[in-house]
Amino acid sequence: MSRAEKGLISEIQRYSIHDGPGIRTVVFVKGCPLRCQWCHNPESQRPVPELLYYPTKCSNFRKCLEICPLGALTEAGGKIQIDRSLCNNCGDCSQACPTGALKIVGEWMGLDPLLAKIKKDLPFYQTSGGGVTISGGEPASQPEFVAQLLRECQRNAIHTAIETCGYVKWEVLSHILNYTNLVLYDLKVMDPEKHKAFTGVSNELIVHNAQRLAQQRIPTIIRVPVVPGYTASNENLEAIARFAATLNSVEEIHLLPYHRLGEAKYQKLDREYKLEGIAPLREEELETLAHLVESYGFRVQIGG
Amino acid sequence: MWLEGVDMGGQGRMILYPHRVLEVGLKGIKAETQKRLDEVNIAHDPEAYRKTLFWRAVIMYSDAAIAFAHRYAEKARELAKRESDVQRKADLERIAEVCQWVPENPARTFHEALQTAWFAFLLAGLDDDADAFGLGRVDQFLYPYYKRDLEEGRLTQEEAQELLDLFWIKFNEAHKARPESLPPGKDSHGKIGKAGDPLFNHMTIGGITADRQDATNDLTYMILAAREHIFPLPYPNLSLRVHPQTPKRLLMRALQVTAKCGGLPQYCGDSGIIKSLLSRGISLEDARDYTAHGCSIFSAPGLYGRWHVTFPNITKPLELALNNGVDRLTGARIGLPTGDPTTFSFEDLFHAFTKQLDYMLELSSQEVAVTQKVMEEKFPLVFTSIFVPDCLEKGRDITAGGARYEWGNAMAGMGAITAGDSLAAIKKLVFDEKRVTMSELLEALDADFQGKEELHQLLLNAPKYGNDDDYADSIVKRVCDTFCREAQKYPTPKGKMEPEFHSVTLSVALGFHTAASPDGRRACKPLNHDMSPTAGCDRSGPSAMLKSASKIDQSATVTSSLLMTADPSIVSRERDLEKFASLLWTYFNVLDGTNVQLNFLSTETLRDAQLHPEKYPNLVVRVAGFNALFVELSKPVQDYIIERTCHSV
Repeated sequence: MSRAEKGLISEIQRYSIHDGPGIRTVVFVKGCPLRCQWCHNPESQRPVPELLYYPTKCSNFRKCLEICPLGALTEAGGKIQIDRSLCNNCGDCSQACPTGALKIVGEWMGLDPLLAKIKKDLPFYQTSGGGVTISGGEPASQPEFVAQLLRECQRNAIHTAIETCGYVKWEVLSHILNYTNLVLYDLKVMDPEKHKAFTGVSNELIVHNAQRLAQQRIPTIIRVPVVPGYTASNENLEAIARFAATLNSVEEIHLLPYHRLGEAKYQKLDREYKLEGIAPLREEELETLAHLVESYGFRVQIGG
Repeated sequence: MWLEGVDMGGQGRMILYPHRVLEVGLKGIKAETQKRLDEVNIAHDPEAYRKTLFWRAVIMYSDAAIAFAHRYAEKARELAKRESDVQRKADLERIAEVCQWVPENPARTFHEALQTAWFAFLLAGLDDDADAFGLGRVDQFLYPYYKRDLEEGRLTQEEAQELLDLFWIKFNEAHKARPESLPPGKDSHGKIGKAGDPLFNHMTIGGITADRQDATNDLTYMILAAREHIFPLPYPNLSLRVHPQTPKRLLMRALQVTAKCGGLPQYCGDSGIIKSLLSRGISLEDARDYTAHGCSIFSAPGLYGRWHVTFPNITKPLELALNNGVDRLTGARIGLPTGDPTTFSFEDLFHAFTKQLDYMLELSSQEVAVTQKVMEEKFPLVFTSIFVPDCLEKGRDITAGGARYEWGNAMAGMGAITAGDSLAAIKKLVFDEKRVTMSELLEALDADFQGKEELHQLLLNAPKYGNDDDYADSIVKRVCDTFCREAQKYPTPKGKMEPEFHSVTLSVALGFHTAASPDGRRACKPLNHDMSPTAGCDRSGPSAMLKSASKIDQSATVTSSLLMTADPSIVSRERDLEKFASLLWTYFNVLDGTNVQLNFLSTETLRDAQLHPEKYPNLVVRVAGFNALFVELSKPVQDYIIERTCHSV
């Protein structure tokens, strides 16, 4: 099977309960056109396999140092340093590591093995009204594979959802939508300038796609990451609610509280975390924002 | 190689069915028994002599029990006389009235029914210095009394709740003296194995009726409330029976209580358990009326023979197979010479393991057979037999075969998963991938992995049961199937042995006597608990763990307990609780799972993990709707989770 018939998957998470209805398996695909500064899945941004280093698991057996063909690894103070300019993410070191401290994130998987993994929780989907959610990364970054996967899931009577950032050509997104039962559509910031500053891209296409999506009559939930100093203002949330009110397929908005769970992953990738020191919102602050959005006539949920 | 339960006290480990005594009182039991005595005729019934002895004893015991209750009445009257507080005086007078009336006479009220049940429990404990009596389906047999009292205006729901709460508290009063230290070699397993000094008394609620309807009633909910009210008192044990028609509201309410009140109730699947009981010759009606006793043992009305539990260590035969029958810790030959393991294929190894296992089970069967005979000859249980259906009719006490159903003995296999994971690691690393030679592995086991850290890591990272990974699961299943088959081979005076997987905390005690195992477990460390994955080895979330467990043929056993540790946040929001309820519902009603014990992780554990990450490499926490390894999270996130854990329950 050629690579084109495989998808690059960063993780498969079973018993996910915050990414759509019921008990779900979430498939995280790797590759995203956005670079949101608060992203808690930085390992899913780049469309290639990447080496992660978990210092707490490292017992300093130094197998990796011996095997690295490029000399990209050095040791200092009992811990491994990766020279990212040399490392080509070949994964030889992760194979040799007895403790799993070095790990390649991103595996090219064929449709059948991936489907087999998804089907493992079939009885739980059936009784809980759950199914599969393709997240990421951006599902539409691997459109052909994801469309095939969703189609196969539907053929197996598995409810399908995608979580998308919306920054994708409409033709590409609409192809995937043919096999999608529920869309979790991310809206971050309504102001185009700020959107570009925070995520690296303007939101025009995202807004436009949301409008086209609304014509498709596919149930859609708007999801908003609530990040203090970035998206968590009354003004922004009201703008999102006003916009969402024009989309007739949207009845529900989820506010996803910012958390700092991605922070450690940045270190594992040797990347800079720009939001250091930002504290998550308090429960009461979140509730105030939720009431504000509710006042526009939506069912609002804090968290997924 | 094994531990057995009877040295901990008397027989017990059965359900006391108070129904008949509630209905007719001991006075009625005496009258029935006298009638039988009057009618029996040795000319027509060669058993008459033995029956006569039993029936006479029943009358004597009944008189003693009535006198026992009357002493309570007398004491209450005496205290009432001296009492100046009007309310307390009235309570004491009421106690006196109730104890004067029951168990001699039929219970007329909810209060009297509770008192009868309590006396039954207390007196059975006096009859035999035993553990683990269950009182059966309390919400079922108490309900008619509760309903009538309410309808006739004798009782309010609040008063009924208070009586239930008090009844529940009573079970925390009874204790027994256990040996501080046992003879050499036993290592005081009473202290380690039954940590916390439980009496294992047990109540069951929910489930189906004889005609397969949902049995839930007001008392089912009120008993959950009683559990909540008396928390943190630990006893009695409580099981909720789950079936396809279990109301969602009940399951969700129960899960809230479990999360808040130290893991109780635990959960039992009607479908799988009834199937297992039917395959063992229990009638459909009795199987549908099953209840739990002990920690998580299932029994049907009139079933006797579960009292003598042996706890064979299934990891030990693998140790012996890998060392030609010699105990790796002591150097003593305790097993069979099965050959040099360095010459083995994987199948040779499994065959050697089976031979060692069979030998161990044969030895423990000999012990069972002798003990059963001695008990029958020396320790008949007359009073207890009043509460076991068919004994009175047959004229035999339980030890002499009076019960409706007789089972040989429970064989509670321990360390089956440790053995299975060990075999999976050997198959993968030694035979499939050939990354390690058998000699290297044996050397590492001898050294308890000291200086063999790299190999140790490879073993720890080999496939493990609990992740819905067929590689490990299929080997674990093979170990379990082999154990179940071998255990049932031996006849005992009361029938064949019945396999099960439940281990109290004896997995710790037996682990102490077990050398390092190829799954990466160090010498003397605990074995896995019942049929649960080795602590921390289930890394793929709860659905994967339940799928792994469902691959084991649970109906081949009479109990297969699974301990799940969950972060309390998994049920802290109603919509998440609902999904968790659905998860359990599926395990029981679709996958035929039999028993789940839930442990919602404590803050203390998480704090300790933060201080000593090396001790918790695989501690999985629910971060939000997903899992993460706790020690890999950054400090602030860890703090956050700890904080949340404090508040969520």
